[in-house]
Amino acid sequence: MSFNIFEAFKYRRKKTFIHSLDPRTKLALAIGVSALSIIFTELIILLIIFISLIPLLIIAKSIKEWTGTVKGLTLLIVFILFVNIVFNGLSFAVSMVLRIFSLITAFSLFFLTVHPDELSQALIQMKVPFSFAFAMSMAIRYVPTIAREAQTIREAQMSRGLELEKGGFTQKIKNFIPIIIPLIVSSIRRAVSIAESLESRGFGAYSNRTYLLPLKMKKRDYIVLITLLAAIIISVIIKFVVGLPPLLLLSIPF
Amino acid sequence: MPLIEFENVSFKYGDSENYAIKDINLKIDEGEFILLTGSTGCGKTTLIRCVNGLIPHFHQGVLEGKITVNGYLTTEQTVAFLSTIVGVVFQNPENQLVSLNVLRELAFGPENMGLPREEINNRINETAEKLELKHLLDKTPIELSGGEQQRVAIASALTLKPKILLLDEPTANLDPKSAKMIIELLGALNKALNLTIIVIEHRLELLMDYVKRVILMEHGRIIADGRPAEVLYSDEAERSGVNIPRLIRVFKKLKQSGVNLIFNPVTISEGVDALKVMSRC
Repeated sequence: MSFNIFEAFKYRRKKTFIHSLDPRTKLALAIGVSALSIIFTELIILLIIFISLIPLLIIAKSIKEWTGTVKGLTLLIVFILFVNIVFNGLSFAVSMVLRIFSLITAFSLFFLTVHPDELSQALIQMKVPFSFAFAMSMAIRYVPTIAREAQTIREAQMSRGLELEKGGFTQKIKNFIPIIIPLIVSSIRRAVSIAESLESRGFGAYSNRTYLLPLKMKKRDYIVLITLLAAIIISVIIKFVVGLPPLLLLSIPF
Repeated sequence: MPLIEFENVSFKYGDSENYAIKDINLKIDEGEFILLTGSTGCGKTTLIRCVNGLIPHFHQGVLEGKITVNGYLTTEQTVAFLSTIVGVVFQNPENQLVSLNVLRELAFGPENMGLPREEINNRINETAEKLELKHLLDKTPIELSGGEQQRVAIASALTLKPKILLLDEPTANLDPKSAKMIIELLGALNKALNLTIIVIEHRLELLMDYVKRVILMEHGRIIADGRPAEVLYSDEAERSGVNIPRLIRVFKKLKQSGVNLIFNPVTISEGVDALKVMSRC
């Protein structure tokens, strides 16, 4: 299950309109949509928000990966549904599920279409210090390396008689100690040697660092941002000033 | 003036009681291609760390003596400044490819130096061309083979345009074919750019066609330093347990059994010549 969730949040190299947008635009989009789906609790409106995200998924050619995410989170979604049916009734429960769907969709759209390098560049241009942004991109870089190492250690320990599936719940957790400890030790060693290599190429030495591929907002980014802003302003005005028309307040009657 | 000079250099790591290197005196000129060898733990890596300033700036400890690189005292310069003179390729390429694609890896050093974008692009193009990496520029390090990773690691040191390249067992994780390719590449770089190269290596045989000087270390000291024909035929080499190339062992045996050799052959073609001379006598 957990594997699916990671896979579905992982960037895929594709050439689509959504991929070509500036990561900052997509971040604004994800946050904007999340904000909207949290402001509103009405079933119909949450449904509209969710449905309006589907075309974006189609444009980004990411339906398959998105389905993966949802499948991975089935347990969570079912849990939210049941708890809310018991305490708040069916209508509210369905609204909450739609809200979760919108949040998942907004953020998986972001992570599926933003390259980690673009993300760190975006952070840098949003005034996050270089070392933080770089640490983040390096964490992503070393996930597969560490995973491979964990696999090697696992195989080594199993060939010496370690049985991972043995025992009850706490015993099963304890079984992982012979894997975790060597993994931590080797990661610390690796960190020192990475640091040596960074140091040997002038990492962080000068404050006027060049960025080879700076991000630039294009016309399409401004169009998306203006549309988003308009949507947010209009919905807020309708909700808090004008009041929602009765049609949008409809709910499941039990 | 030598490009690299060690005068009575000793170093002890902060957490250790013994000297990792002791009384090192060494002069290296521009354009030399040097093999540094000796059994594990003899101080080779420590010596290399001294050249680019990781000792004493990154690894703490007690440093005695004087190290000069291109006229600069390493103790008075930062590692970042020295990195534009000395490039280092460490043993495990996985640990020095820190970016998510090859292009950014090659750009990393020059970006840190704050060079203009145009200059960085020129250097990347030039280096990628020379090391045949053009088709790999948008690959992630995980997608590369061991040999490709090592080539990228070398390229990412070269984009800083150093005068000296240090390599710590560059073929340790490679299959024989890739290992041979890497060493050939080093030979070509040494010739084409007049790049000074010091390579730590246990597979001595690979390097015999290229190196003109071998430095042999044991217990933190240099025990032999000279042409391969001198060092690898010496008793010190025999004693220290380095992996002496088969060809040299054969000729050593011949010598011991009373065959008269006019010179000590090191490469295959020298061996052939020596045999020709012998058969004529």
